Amino acid sequence: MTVLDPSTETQGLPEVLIRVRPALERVLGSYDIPPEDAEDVLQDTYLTLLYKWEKVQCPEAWLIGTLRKKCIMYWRRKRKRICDAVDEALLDLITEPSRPLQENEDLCRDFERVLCRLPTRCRELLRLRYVLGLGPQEVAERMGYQPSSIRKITSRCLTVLTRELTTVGFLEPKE
Amino acid sequence: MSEPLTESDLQHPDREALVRFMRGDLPRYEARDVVRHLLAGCPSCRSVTGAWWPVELAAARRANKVVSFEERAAQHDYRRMFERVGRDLAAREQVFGEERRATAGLSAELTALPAAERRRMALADSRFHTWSVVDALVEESRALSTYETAGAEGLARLAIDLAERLDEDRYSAASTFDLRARAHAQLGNVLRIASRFLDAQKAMDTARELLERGSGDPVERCRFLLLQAALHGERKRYEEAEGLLERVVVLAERTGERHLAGCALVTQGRLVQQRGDVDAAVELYGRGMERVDPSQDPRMVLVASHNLVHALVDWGRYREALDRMDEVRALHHRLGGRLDRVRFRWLEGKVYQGLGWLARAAELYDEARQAFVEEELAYDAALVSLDLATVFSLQKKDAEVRRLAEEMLPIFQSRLLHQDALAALLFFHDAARHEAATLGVIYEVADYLRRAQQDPKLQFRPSGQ
Repeated sequence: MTVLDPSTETQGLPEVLIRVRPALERVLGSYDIPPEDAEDVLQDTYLTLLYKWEKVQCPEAWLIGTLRKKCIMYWRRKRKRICDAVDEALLDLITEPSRPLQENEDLCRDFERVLCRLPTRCRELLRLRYVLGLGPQEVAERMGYQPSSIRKITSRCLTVLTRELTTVGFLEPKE
Repeated sequence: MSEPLTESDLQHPDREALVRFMRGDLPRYEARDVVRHLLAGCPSCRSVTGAWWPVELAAARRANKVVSFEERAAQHDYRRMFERVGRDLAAREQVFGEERRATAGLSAELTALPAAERRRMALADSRFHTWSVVDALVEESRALSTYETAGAEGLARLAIDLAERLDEDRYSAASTFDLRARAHAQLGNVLRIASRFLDAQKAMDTARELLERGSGDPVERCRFLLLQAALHGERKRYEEAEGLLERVVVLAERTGERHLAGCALVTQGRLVQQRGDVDAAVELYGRGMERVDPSQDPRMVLVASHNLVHALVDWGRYREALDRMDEVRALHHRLGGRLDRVRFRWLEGKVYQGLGWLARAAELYDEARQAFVEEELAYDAALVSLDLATVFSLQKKDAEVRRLAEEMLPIFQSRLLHQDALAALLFFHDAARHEAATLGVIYEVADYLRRAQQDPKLQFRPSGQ
């Protein structure tokens, strides 16, 4: 046979990077990664490929898949930072000792109004955490969750709460 | 319930504070005021913060990403960034190439030392604190896993300790997390092979945590999931194991990693075969073997071929099994260990028995039986003895069945078979002594032992008693 199979030619890292660059630009663009942050994301991806070059069968698909995952992780980290800020703020607010009674009542009322918009299990969990001030293990015990999974569940509920706080605003619950 | 506050009731945080809050950059005491304000349900402020939450962007819909309108509207120009990163990579490629070339010598230096000395030297000498050395140790541990678990464990532990000493600035933090995860996963796999399942799961949990902080490399993830699935399989968590393997197949195919997809299919075949779904197992082995790359993992080819023949035997397709025997025998000679070859003799015996060539089957079973007794593998020895008893029974050699039963009992009494397994063998022994060891009795005892091997708490309840 004299025909050549294009998939069998061995290519080095630089050639692969040149060929795959337009696809990588599209991935970064579609995930709206700001260029100043994209540099770190891309560098990490390239370096990982360099170290694992011998173990990767299809570098182009690998690069696109890994970069996509890194973009998702980038936004997930950003989201986590906001959720952490909300968590810290709520814990600070409920433990603030010197607040007048009326303000405390207002705070509880406002918090309850947000909770009303959330799914029942999240509502219960967040109430235990912020209103009763229980720690993660106690919350897990009360709600019948495995202690090992409470961190993830709390984090999910906190995301729902944060989104509710920062995006939707408050519509009164439907009767 | 009282009414939410109106615009005029509220003192708004300034826009910059809201933006900084959504970026996670606002100091804690200021963030508290912003959250208090948002709790009151201010519509104009949430329109500012809301712009930082995701809108439906097709490519990132599932990422729930935070993105500002400003950023979204901007036309990103990545050209310069690509050039800078490319230049940096070229420089690093050269440095890494030198590191790679030095690794063979360093590895040889280490392996020449006794284990304790090797460890002391590797930890103390920074020449060994490189990606390539750790990678080589993990691979070496992997190669030893099936044959010498203690040595493999030592290498995996050393790899873990050295990986913690890697310079994150030199290699990037994400890459070092990947490698640390791989070292822990390898330790988990060695511990699984040594049947230390709880310790194995701890190592896998650590690996998973590290992987979550890693580069997001799909290949690394597939390898981890394969090992975790194998551990779930050993712990009888079949559904979880199969779920993970299905994920590996999808992820690996998407990334062009046909070999890994093949490994997942072969492992899945083994699990479904264990639960008795033989035709599904044959199909999975077939698909797996099409994808497995012998140059990457020759043993996986051996495992897939051997197990496929086994599944065909379980299905009663002896002629097809026979057609594949030469190929599997050649693989065993080239790649198998001593015990692998004994298991193959046993499998050959099953094929010949199925085809009615009883004398040859009896020879092969007897050979396997003696090897298992020598290796003190009590369950396997008992099971192959019962296969031999089946052949004798088919040949109407009751005296041979009785002799076999009498030989079996003292051997297994001295081994660590649990009470109920011994009771099953005693039941067989008594039946043989009274020339009542029918095929039904033999199958019943064999079936019990096969299940008891997976579940040592299983009680033996002979039918009719």
